[in-house]
Amino acid sequence: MSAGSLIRLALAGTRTDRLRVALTAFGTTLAVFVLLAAATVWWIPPTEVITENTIDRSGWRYTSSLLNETVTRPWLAAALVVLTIPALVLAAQSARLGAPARDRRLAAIRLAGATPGQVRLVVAAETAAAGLAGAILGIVGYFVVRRVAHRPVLADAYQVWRGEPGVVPRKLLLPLPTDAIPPSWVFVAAAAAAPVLAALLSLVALRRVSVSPLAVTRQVPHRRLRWWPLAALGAGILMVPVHLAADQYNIGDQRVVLPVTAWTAILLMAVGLALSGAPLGQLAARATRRAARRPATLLAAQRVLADPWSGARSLAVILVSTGIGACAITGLAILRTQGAAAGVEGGTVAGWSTESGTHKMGLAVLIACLVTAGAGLLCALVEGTLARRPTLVTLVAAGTPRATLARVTALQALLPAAPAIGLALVVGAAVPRLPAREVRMYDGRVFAIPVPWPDLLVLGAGAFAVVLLAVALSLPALRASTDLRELRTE
Amino acid sequence: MTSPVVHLANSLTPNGPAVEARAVAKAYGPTPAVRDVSMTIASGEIVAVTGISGSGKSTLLHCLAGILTPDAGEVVYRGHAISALGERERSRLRRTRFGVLFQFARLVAELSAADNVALPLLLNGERRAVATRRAHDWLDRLGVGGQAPSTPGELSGGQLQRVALARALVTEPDVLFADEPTGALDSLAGEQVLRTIVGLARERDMTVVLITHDATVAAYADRDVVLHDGAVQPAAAVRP
Repeated sequence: MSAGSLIRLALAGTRTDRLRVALTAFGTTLAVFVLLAAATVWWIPPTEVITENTIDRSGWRYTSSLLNETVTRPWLAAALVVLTIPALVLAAQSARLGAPARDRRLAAIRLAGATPGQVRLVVAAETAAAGLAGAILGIVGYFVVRRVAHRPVLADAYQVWRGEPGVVPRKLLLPLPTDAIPPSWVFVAAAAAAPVLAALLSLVALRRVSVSPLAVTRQVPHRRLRWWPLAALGAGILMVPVHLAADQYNIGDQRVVLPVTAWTAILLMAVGLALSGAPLGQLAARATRRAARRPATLLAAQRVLADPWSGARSLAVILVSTGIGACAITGLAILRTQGAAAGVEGGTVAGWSTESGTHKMGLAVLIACLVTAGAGLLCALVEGTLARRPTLVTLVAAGTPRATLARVTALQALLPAAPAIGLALVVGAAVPRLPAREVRMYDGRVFAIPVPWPDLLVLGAGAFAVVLLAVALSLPALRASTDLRELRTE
Repeated sequence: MTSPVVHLANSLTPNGPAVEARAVAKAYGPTPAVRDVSMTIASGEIVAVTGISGSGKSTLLHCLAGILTPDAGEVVYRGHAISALGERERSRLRRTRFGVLFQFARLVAELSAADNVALPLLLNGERRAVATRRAHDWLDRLGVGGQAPSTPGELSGGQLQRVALARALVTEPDVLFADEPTGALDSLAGEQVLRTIVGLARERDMTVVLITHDATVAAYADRDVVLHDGAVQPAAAVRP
């Protein structure tokens, strides 16, 4: 098959296919843009001269200390790289949108004589084309933002700051590192990697699909309760006391033991938390199905039991974001308690500027992760509605109120999300408190570390709001899919 | 305050015609699908609406069942104009008084056969235990009781259509609207489904509106209404 034919077949779809391509491209655009932002931060020319005893900050030229400080820049770059994960999840999730219509097209291509490999190529080509378009848009967007944001502002400068109080002079500073640029090979690599990665993700999504000339069949997903994500989470939590004991009792070579135990705990907890939505959803659905008295509850519970991994990737991002957010909130409460104990006014033992910048960065990354994951969840919900369109329109024709079907959609999203978000909050808030629940000073004073309930509740409410917003935005698709005039075309 | 449906239930006239179409017209954009159709279907009567593909049969059925509202004319059920009701009231009417059966069963893939049949009862506020028991009764009655725990993916075409028929009948509707109910079945399975429908209609004095393009299917009805280009053909045959 020639490359031209391949691209023509890949892009010969309906409006839903074009929407899928657009959303995949949007996810890739976001990922490439954020990746380039991370690379820019990484390649910022030195801003400080650090000697054994002094730090010369005369090279500070940004309004944010996160960009100015040599120590915080790699963390900022890492946080931006983390942001690419929900963007790629969004691209992968949207690659499934409108799958039934695409499946019919794929079966027709097989009927015309294409081999299974050629059909997979068509799918990969569609996603790769979307990925390439997204990558180009991401690069263009990057240069547009550089140009628009390159406006120095008059602000406090810390070049003479030595830690002691004094008058801080003002000078022109940049809000973003628009004077720094990564090497050109980074742009080439991003433009090449995005379509390849997108194509690989689409092939992974097709691994359970077999395309015959007559129809597309999907292997039934494993419906048995999978305990291992919860077991991994439990093992990760248990690893924390092991890490603390290794630290306290000086067990083994500390340079090896401490990083190994810490990273094992972090990875086990992150993976366990990310994938806990499916088993918790199954448990909640089983309980709900037994107690269900209303049809919406029964339908939602059965849907979750039939496909517990639906929307799991986007939910995973929400859960990890919530867990990390709760962890950060509790960590901040600990730092503030330490600051209060040390007599630092209204803050942590870290500098005010750095702390404020870190908060803003953390909050921005958290919100961006939640919003992008919400978009992925929206894609999953719309895809579920489109896939069930004939059944849904028949139910409405037989008198099922659309409000009942809307409740099914909401419950289907909330059955896994509600317990999993709760678990993420509890784990995130509890783990930083495992080492100690109070700060003991050398003079015998004891400061209890408070549980930051209001902040945790706001975080939980935010995570729920993202899920509910995704549900609300998916309802127009439900209404359109159950338009009774469509009965004659089904 | 009395709800519109309760009001409708009180105002129904049980002894008159079950369903009437009075000068019903429906178009999709500039294309007319049904033109000035008037017909009366007596209580307990089995009527076959026949015609070639594109003659407007399904659109007429959708209008008669209150799925679509006609652009002109009115549909009257037991003396009450249902085409004037809102979508919510028509939905409730379809759920309580009508049964609807389509060519393809279109059961909820995630629910068992029994849960699929129990669904309309649950929507009507029935207790789950009662709904499940009645669903099992209907599945037994239609010869698919053994398939009650199976999901639609595990059933044959004939079994699926029987489960769909049980779902349409479980509320014991006054009128059954069936749109090509045997179109997706082989002749033997189709015949079994038709015999079941006719037998139940006679037994329960249920009115049946059957859409078909197949003369052998229409032969099960008391009377044919032939549609051509959206209009009723004058030569309607009444079977003895």
